[in-house]
Amino acid sequence: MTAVVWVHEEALRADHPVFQAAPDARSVFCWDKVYLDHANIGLNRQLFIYECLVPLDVDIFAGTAASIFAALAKQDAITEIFMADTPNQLLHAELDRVGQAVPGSRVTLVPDRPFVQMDTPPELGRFHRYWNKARKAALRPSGR
Amino acid sequence: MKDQPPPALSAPNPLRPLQKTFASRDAMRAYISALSRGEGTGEDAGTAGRASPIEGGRAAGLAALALVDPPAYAASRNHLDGAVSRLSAYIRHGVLSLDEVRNHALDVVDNAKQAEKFIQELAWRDYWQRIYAARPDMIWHDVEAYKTGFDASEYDDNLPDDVTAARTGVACIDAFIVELLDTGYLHNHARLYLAGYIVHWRRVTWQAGARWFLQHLVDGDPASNNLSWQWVASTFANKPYFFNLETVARFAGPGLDVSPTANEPLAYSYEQLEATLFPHKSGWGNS
Repeated sequence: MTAVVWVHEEALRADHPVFQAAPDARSVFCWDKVYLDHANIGLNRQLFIYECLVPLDVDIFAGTAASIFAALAKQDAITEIFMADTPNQLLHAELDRVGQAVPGSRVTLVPDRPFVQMDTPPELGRFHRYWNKARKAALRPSGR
Repeated sequence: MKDQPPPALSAPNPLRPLQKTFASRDAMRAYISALSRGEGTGEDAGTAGRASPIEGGRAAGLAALALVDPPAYAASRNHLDGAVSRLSAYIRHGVLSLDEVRNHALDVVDNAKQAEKFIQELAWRDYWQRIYAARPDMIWHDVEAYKTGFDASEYDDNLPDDVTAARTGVACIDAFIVELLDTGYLHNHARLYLAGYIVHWRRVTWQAGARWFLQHLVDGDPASNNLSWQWVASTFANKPYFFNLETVARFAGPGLDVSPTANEPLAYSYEQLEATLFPHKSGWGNS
């Protein structure tokens, strides 16, 4: 069984829960110029992302995520893909393509530690409605 | 060490890892630029020259976090030269979690109230992300109609060339554009001024401005950025956001030209600007 962490631009720290979820997995970042262009990620931000990747135990490959994962799967069957969860729809579309490129693999989405946990979903129509519900928990340190 | 040329993207072995050591940030930037060359993003304005001063990486993020002073932030955050945290790029990319930044802020104050303004700004990020997760369609589509007296079809889909070239002739606006292109960062109020100018003075769609911001801001995030643009435009607010030169001057730091002669389109009262910018609208009441 081979698990791979697909690292993307929204989870660029070693203690993100996605790495803890698969501590022995290989971690890869796919440097896809078409995706970067589509996501409106300009050169200043590309540099920032690259600088974040350098100290991480992550291999950076050039190409689409689907092509990279297909190539990885040729080397060693990929059974599980871990990805930091995100609302980013472009990344989810990429993930769908990765799933097609590596059929049979299981995808696990790993959320970051929450800022606030609420018993009921907040109303999102305007910020003050959200803040009225979130304030108390937001002003308390987590895990203490 | 000598920097390697980046591999061709059509190289037969896609699993050749890219280089991770560089002689300098500028060398890394040149390498990345070559990786993206010819695909639009790497070719637009503001990409020539030196690296953005916002350094990536966990160590840089923690160093910025250590400088956070929540009471000073609360007292001066509205000023363009105020004690803002500059953590946004690290938070946006998950280099720092909202949770740890909040915990740190609470650690360095005597009571939670002193950190409330700062934590409320973190909450905005959480709020925007929750909206993005619940309603991804809101990111690029008008949430509501414009409340400016104009139909969406009356807004231009393209940014004027003088805006992207920082040659609008409005001194403070041009200064903000130069800062955006050169550093990849703008104070939140400067973002609002620039967005307000683009949407309401130049009558350009918020989508065109939001896309341009995303391309240049190091902390560019589809949810925070685009929904803030919608707030300015009035498609996610009860009324449009606009401002005048007096407001800019009140919060400007030294070095920004806020003279009326150099900023004529902004140098009016709110009532005058409202009548000029929104001639078909007669106030917003309390709606």
